[in-house]
Amino acid sequence: MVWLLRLAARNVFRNTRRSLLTTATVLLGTAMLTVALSFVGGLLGGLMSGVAATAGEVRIVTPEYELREALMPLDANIAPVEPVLEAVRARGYAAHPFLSSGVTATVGEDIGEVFCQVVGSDPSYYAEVLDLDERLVAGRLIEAERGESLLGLALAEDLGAEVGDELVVLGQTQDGSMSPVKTTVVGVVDVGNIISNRQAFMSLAELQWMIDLEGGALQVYVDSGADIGGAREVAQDLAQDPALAGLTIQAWNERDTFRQIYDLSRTIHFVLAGGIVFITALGVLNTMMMSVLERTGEVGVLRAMGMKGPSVVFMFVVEGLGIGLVGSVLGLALGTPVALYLQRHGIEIGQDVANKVAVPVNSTFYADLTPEIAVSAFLLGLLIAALGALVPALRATSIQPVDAMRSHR
Amino acid sequence: MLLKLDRVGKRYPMGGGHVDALKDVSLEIQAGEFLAFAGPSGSGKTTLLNLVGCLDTPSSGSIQLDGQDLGRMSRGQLGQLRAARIGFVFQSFNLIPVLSALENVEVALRLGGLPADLDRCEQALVDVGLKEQLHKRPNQMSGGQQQRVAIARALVKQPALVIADEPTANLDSHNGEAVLDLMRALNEDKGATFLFSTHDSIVLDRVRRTVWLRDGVVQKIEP
Amino acid sequence: MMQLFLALSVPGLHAEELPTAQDLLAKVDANMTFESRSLEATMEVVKPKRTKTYTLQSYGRGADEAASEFLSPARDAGTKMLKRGDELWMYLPSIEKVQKLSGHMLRQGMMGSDVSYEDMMESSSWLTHYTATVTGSGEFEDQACWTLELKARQDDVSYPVRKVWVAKDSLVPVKQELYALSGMLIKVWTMHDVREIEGRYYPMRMRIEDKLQQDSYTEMRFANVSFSVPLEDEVFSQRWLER
Repeated sequence: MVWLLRLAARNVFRNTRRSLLTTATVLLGTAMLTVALSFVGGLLGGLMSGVAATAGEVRIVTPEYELREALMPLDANIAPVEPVLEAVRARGYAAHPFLSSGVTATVGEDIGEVFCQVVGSDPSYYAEVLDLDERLVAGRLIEAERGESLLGLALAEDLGAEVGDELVVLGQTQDGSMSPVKTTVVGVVDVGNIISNRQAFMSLAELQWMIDLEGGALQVYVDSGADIGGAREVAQDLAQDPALAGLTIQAWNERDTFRQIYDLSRTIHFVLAGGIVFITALGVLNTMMMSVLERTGEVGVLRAMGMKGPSVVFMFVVEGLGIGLVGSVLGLALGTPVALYLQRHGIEIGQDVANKVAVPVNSTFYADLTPEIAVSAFLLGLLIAALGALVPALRATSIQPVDAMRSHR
Repeated sequence: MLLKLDRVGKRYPMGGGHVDALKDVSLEIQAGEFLAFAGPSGSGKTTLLNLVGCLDTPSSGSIQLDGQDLGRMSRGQLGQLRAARIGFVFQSFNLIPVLSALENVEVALRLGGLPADLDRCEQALVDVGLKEQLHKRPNQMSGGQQQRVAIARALVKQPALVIADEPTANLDSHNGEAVLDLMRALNEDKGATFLFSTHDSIVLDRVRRTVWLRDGVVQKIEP
Repeated sequence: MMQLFLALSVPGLHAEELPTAQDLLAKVDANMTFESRSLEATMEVVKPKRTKTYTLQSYGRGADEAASEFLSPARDAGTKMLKRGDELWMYLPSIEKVQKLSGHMLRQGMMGSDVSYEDMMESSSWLTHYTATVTGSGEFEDQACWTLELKARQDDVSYPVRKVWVAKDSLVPVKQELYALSGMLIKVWTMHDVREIEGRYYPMRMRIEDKLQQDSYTEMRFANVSFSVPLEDEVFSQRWLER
């Protein structure tokens, strides 16, 4: 067995030019995979953070709220919300009360017609879930219990607002009467996606006053602190709590819109990776097949001397893997700086396109090169080599000892 | 008696019909023979060599090697028999270019299911006069030297018989003669049976018996 | 002979003579319009989840001018509304701004009640927007009424079809059923406790039921109704709003 490995290893260096060609193919494939996987990974990551911000990893609402959600029903609320928050926190998760409502907003003298969403939540939501402390473009976060607001970057632009301006919003109470609120803009933030950047952020107390909902909230966002992909398990865990009986508990990927987009992204991920692997493997197949055909005599004599089919396959596949190893490493080395560049600078897809997508995305897509992706690309590079070598290897087994006789005649 | 061929025929499908490469060949070969199958191209000599070398099976008739009927064996059994008991020398040497002479000989032992005894391999190469070339690779040797490595490889496992298909075809006459003389010496010293397929006079001048074939049929046997 | 023929052939001529819609509505208008009016109102907005109660002071002049100021609850105190002609403004004390209400905002319930701003805006006679027919007699809360059916002349009216019960003695439209074009019943507006005040008949209580929701209605109760209080022009001006 070892000697076969030794033989295969030596065969790697046999035909330098062809080995280099095969190596180059694997290199290219691995490099492409590194970049593509980083890009799609970054896309998904950006998507998911946008999702976490706007939809909550897991959210708790009343069944009626879920039913009439499109109408933004302010009266389908959770009040009092404190027991729900306590129940969630007792299970080790972070819980944030959440309120939002559509308002018209103005800065300055006239009551304007800029329609936007106002969000109210606790300071830890802003700091930990939205990371607003790292996303300040101007000013500071909300500190007072009432009277202060933060504007998303796009909203600030639309309003022509700056830190220190007086923001007047006209909302509604849960009973439907007009509810005006005046606050001072203390900061402007770039939340990282187009939907959130069109929102205004206020304290929980402010929104509770505006909606006339004392001690209540419209939604409770649950944050497990772990990978957002495990949201379903968190939701199931919460569903067992008697304090939450009668409420609807949803993981973000159980909500239709997001689930479709998420599934689509993963499909693209696999199709892209699969496509690159397949095409590159074909390249490897091509060069390795030439090797096999050239070595008919040699394989024939080995067969004549008693080498069995599986050993022949093994020999060629190991040879392919050996070449692939070099190609994979180099491909990773080539792809990494490209991926890192995209991670820093991203690809601009334009605001128009970003606005059309149903989930919050930025106008620039960034790659995200993680160690997992680097390892995956490397392993896939090896897979390319192994797959590419497999067919020629199988072809080699059909070489009969007799062929060794007839060759070169 | 080592080999007994009884009315052996080999038929290949060709186009719409078939071609008979061998027809009704009956022959007896003893151990220790130094024999050639001779004839023009297409006479069936290579086919016959393939059959006795267990590289192929007859379409009709029977071949017995040491009393075993080759026609009754499965491919696997045939392969095992061949690996253990038959050595090969080809006109195109077919050495493994990435292995040294010693390692090339070693392969034959490993594949034959025998322990990889390097001393034995070394001795085999010494026997063919390549003591200085043990660690050289095929591309560092002349044609004659390569063929000798092939012979060492064929003999190292002490096979029942060695089949050599046009062994001199890729050698100049000087080397060809040397190689044949070597094989003849090995035949006489060690009693290894050699069967050749050839139309080269260098071989024919040195074999003790020649089976002449034409159109798949034995024409005459000399002497 | 000719008279008998006429009596039998002209539709609507029963034993009791029906007034013409024109006639009837003119009288209704006459009763409900006043030179000046002031009253205190308590508005109870009842919803399945909760009930909110407001108090307000209201003034009116002619058919075109009306001004109201909310007195309670605390968060709404100081909110003012001014109607002039077909324009409506609101003053929001907490932000010290005047907001003009127009378009879709008018169809919202005032203070979330079942009375929309538009409902309140109604001033001009129904005859302008509807073709009316008196359909006969009826009864409401032991009052004998004339029944009318009104069909809107244009489609952009909030209630394309109205059925109205006008009390025969007080000429107050004690009940109205407001329908959509499809025939679906949207609201029922009833007036109760009709009293004679200074020569006019005025309801002390109004109830508006939203028939599209369950258990949702608004009740307005009036007190200190007066039709002769002199009102200054200033009350019906922008300045009054902002004071």
